[in-house]
Amino acid sequence: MNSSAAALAACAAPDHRRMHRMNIFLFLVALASWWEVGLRQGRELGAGQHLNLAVAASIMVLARLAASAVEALAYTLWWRARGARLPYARFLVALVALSLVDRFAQSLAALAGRAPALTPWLAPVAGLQLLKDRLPGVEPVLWVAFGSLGLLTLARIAITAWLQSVGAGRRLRGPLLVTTLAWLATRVALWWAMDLLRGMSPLR
Amino acid sequence: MRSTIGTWWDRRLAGGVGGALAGVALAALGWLWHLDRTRVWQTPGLGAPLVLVCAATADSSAGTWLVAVNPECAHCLQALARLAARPRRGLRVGALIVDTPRRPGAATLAALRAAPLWWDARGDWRRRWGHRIYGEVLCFDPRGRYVGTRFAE
Repeated sequence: MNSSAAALAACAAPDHRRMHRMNIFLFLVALASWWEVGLRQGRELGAGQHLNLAVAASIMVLARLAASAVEALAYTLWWRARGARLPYARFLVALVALSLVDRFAQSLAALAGRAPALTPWLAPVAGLQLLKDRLPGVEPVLWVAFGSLGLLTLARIAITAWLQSVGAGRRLRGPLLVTTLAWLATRVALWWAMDLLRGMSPLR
Repeated sequence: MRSTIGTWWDRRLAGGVGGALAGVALAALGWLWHLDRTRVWQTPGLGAPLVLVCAATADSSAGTWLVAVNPECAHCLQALARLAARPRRGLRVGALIVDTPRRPGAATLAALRAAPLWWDARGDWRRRWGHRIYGEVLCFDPRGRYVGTRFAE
């Protein structure tokens, strides 16, 4: 390594540490936020009758963590197979922190529920599912699979790709392609799985 | 040097196999989905081979709605109770007992508190009609012809 490269690396290290500290903070905020959502949804579903609400909310947080852990593992293994090292723990922390984007989309959807006049403006941002009532001809299962598509979802895909690009030291184009394909494949798999689960039974 | 190249190849191979497995799994799911969606399912109907285990005397001039119920599913029992609690003129609200291989006993029938009660003894609801969600409402006209299915409330 020559002297200018060493100087650049020395400058970049504190930036990475600062970003990681920020991600840890956002990770904790995300966990608290999902716990609160679990508590509220559990109350609405009457979970308190059968299961302690705090336990139900904790299970929801654990499920989210597990989903993020699997997602992070898939990307880590993908890049490792291509000879690049993506630090798993740091990437996982960043992914969970990034789930705050989903939480924000949920808040916008709730806002659209309270103020229907805002729906056409919020739908392109928070997800097309907000237009579900206005487009009754679309199969409900397609809303389940692709209803979250909006600017926030696109931003989440882009940031996930950028995190891989930075972590694995690759150009953005490859991670962006991988992340977009992964999102698309999981959505299509969800669509088909939901259809198989419901058969000829209708969905709401 | 040779071991480095070997490791690199191993990783490429593992990545390729992993990617191929994911692709095969997605393709298999798509194939199952295609088979399921293109299969010709029978139209639901009242009468044989369903078994009427509790008849109704109420007026059915507006038709009959049957809630698909598994007696062991508390959620669909609640769906039936909710629907039965909102009577509509001329509409009979009963239940279709599904996924229950043994003929339901008196206690089960009493717990359902609705009429008519049909028992799907052969499992046609799932195997021949292709329906899979408990609590859905199968709607029949006054002559017993299938009109459609509503989602569970």
